[in-house]
Amino acid sequence: MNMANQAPAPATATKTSVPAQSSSSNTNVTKRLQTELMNLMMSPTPGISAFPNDADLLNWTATIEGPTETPYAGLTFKLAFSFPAEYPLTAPQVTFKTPIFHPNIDFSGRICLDILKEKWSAIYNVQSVLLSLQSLLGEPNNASPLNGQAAELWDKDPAEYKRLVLARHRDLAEEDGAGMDGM
Amino acid sequence: MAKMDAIFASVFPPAVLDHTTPTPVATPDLGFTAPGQSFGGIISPVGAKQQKPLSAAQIQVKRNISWSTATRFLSLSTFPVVDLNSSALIKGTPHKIKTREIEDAIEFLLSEDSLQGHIDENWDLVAWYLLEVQTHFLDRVAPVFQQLWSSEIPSERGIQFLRSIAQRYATMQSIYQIPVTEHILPATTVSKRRHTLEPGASAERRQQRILSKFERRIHALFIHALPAERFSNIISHVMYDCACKMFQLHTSEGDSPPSQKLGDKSVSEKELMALLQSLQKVGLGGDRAQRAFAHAMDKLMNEFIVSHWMKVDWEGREPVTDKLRKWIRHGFSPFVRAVVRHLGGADEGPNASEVDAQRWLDVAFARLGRARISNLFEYIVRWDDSLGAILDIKEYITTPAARSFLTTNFSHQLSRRLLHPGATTTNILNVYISIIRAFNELDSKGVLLDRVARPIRRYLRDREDTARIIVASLLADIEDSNGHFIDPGPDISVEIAREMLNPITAFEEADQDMDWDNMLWTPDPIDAGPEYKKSKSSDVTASLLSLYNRNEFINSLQTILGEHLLKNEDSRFEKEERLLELFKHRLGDDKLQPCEVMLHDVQQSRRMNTAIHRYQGYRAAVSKSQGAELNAQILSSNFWPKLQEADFTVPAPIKLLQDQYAKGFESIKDMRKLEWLHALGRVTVVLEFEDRKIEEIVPTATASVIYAFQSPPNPSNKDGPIEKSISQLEAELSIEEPLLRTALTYWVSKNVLRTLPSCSNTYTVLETLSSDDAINTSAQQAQALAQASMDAETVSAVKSAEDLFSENEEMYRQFVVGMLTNGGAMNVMRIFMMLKVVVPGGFPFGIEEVRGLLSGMVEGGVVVGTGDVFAVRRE
Repeated sequence: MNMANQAPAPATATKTSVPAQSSSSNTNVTKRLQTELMNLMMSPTPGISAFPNDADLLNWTATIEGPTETPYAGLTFKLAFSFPAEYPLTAPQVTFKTPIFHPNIDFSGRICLDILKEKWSAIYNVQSVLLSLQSLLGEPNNASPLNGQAAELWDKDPAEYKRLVLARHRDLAEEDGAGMDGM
Repeated sequence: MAKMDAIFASVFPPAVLDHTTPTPVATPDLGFTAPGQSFGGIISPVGAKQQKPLSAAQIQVKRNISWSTATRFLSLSTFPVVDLNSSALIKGTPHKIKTREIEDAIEFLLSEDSLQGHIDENWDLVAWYLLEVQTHFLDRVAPVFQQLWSSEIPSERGIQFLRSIAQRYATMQSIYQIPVTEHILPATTVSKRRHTLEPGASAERRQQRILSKFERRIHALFIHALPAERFSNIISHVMYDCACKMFQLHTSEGDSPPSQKLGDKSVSEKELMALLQSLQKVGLGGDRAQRAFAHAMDKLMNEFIVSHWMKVDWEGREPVTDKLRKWIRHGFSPFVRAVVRHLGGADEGPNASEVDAQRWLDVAFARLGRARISNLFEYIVRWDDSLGAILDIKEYITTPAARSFLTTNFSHQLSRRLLHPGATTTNILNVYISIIRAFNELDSKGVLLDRVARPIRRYLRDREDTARIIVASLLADIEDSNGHFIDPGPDISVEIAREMLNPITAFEEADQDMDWDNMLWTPDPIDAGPEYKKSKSSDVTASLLSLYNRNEFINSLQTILGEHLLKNEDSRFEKEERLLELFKHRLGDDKLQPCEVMLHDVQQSRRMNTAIHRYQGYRAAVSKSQGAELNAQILSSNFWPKLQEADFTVPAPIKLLQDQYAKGFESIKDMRKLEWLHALGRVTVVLEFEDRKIEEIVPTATASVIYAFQSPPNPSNKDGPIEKSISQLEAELSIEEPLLRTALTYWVSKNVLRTLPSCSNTYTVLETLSSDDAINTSAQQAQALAQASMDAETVSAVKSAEDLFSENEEMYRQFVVGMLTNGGAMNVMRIFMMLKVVVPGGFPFGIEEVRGLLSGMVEGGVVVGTGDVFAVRRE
């Protein structure tokens, strides 16, 4: 048996052309946030999660789990992200929605973290911010506390600290009637 | 006989009870005292001298005598029992001999002397005669007529019947009139002449008065004797029938075409006019007949609208309104006027007839328009042969009411006959295009089209296959190279394809309202909304492309174009280029970049093939692999829709060719890599057996499978026939089993391979064809199977929606989990909306897919759902 082959087989060539950049900054923000979201979805990091609230993509809700071997272990915290139109050139506004007892976080949820303020850089993204915040829970910066009591107790009385953390914590999701899982 | 009677009667006056016996002449006249005279006194000579020829009593006596004589003479009771059927009725009328005595009596009674200055109704001879006539008519004549009417009258004999009625009435009328004209009227003239100073005029007037009064009474009698409703019906029918004949409304198909021109005087018209005249003479015309005529004309007009005269002009494509106008002006209107004149209607001036004609014209147009609109759907379907009918409607829709009638009626027809699941999308699209074209003719401002098109567009948007069919039709070929029509199949709208053959016209029409120099400008129709803007919907392609928002269209365009380009590798893509230009015009340049790249790719690939075929390494590979050639389509993966993939080992020579080809490519195009998509390839395979040769074009996988039978499974057993089991092949080719089985079935069906009788999973090459029945039947079975799988295979080179979904399902799950973790519980609708927004590249599926996804996640224990609301599962 003999065989003659003539095969027009399609092949794909990977081109390195860059899609045209849109001039509108708003489109830029959306595009950037969409990419970030996609990355978060495709490579989920355990313990953190974030998702847009609605269609405009500029307001997100994030969830972090308290790191193990810290007073926050086993607790989950919700955060609100609000992205400015200049993002990623300016930092997003991040606040804790879940009440938390922490030296660098005040009672209305405002956070004192340098990368969210003067040390913000465009290379940070939602994921890195969330990871930073998660580590901040275990390693507070007691040098510049927003919550003096917390800063004091952190070193002096871990047991009392833990009690206050638990007393302060309320699970927001319970109020929504929804459950949470560890991602 | 009658004469005998007369002679007898002159001697012995007949004893008639109702005639008064006069006071005997012999009775002494005692006289009455005249005013101023003493009662019972001697009649003074002074009184005798007074000019008083007759005393009151004398007058009374004379009156009595005259009355008796006159009434006896004029009495109709002696009139023979009328035989209405005899035409010689008048001849039989007794001509009574009028004596001097009778003449005097009548004269006296009619003179003013007898009345003595005051009118006494009891002594009115004319009134008495009328009463006499009435009695006679009711007693003797009416029953005869009643009998006539009581019989069944066949409709076709209506005219004869009416004629005979009219004739009989005329006879009766003349019989009754004879005494009046012969005896009473002359007497009045005589008496007038004698006693009044002014002759002529007043006497004449009096005669006229008597005569007309007489006629009126007789006509009233006649009408009274008629069954009013039946008479109206019959006369109406006769008129209608006659008019139909006149205007030749009932010429059947078989007849020779009517040679007569519309509105010519015909026999039947003359007949009718004569009849009407005779009816009018006996008082049967007038309002009653006019009303009947109105009915008849109403019916006639309706009949005319549906008659062969008003047939839609399918060949000439001309409106029939000109014909209708001509008919109304020169046929209908003169006819109506003539009839009304004959029936005693007032004849208005020539201007009135013009006004009437215009009014009738309006009515006729409205009726024609309505008749056409009720069939509008058919006309639309048969556009543009039905241009004539559309133009007819155009004449009608001049008022807002007519326009809204058109839109509501037609919308109803559409929803009943087109917008239902039984109609294919192709069909609906074709009809929609016809509607666009027809309504453009109807109302160039597009207001009507805008209204009727809305439901269709909404409906089309709901159909899943609309976008696909539109794009596929735009790309389809409906003419071969010689301009002959080829049937493109059910999924292609021929109309759309034909639209593509038209040259591209200027799309951006200048805003007409701002073009001050446009002398053809007309204001928007009255029923246009305040914000109405003529859309581009008059242009077929434009309105189809505006059905969807751009993205949906572009997505489906990309998919279909991709498939189309891969299928037609030999074409020169002129049509596709044109289509792309068209789309760019309509949808904007920016979004169509992928399509442009796709087109560019396939065009570039041919050049690339020729370039690489000259490349040294490739030529060497060709000579090594027994002269096999390799042509490649080089597709830029970023811009093509997702393509089918299937990985397997291609035969070594082909692999070699591919490598060399890739090397050649890399040398020409720097920094680019080729990635082979074996699933989309096609191979021309030539198989040489001991007794035959087979040449087939098959997918690469199928070719690879048969190539595997080239080499024995283990080199040690070289002599025996090559046998390979499915698992062996699977391992050798690292091919998926379904694909392998499809390939094997295909070759079995071609009588190339067969299964071993001992083991159905092991195949061997059929080197010689034997007449073995078992093999043949199995080949046949396989053939059917192969056909089915071939069909499935040719469906799409581009991934289907289901493939896309299952491929991306994991990503969608992640999105849902992220959404629910951070956003709390949500219902399915919200999840669906969010997915549409946040998934990069969009979520091209429906809510049902979301439900499916969620239920899968519930089963997987990731989320929990109550009703329509889902949340992440708590640990």
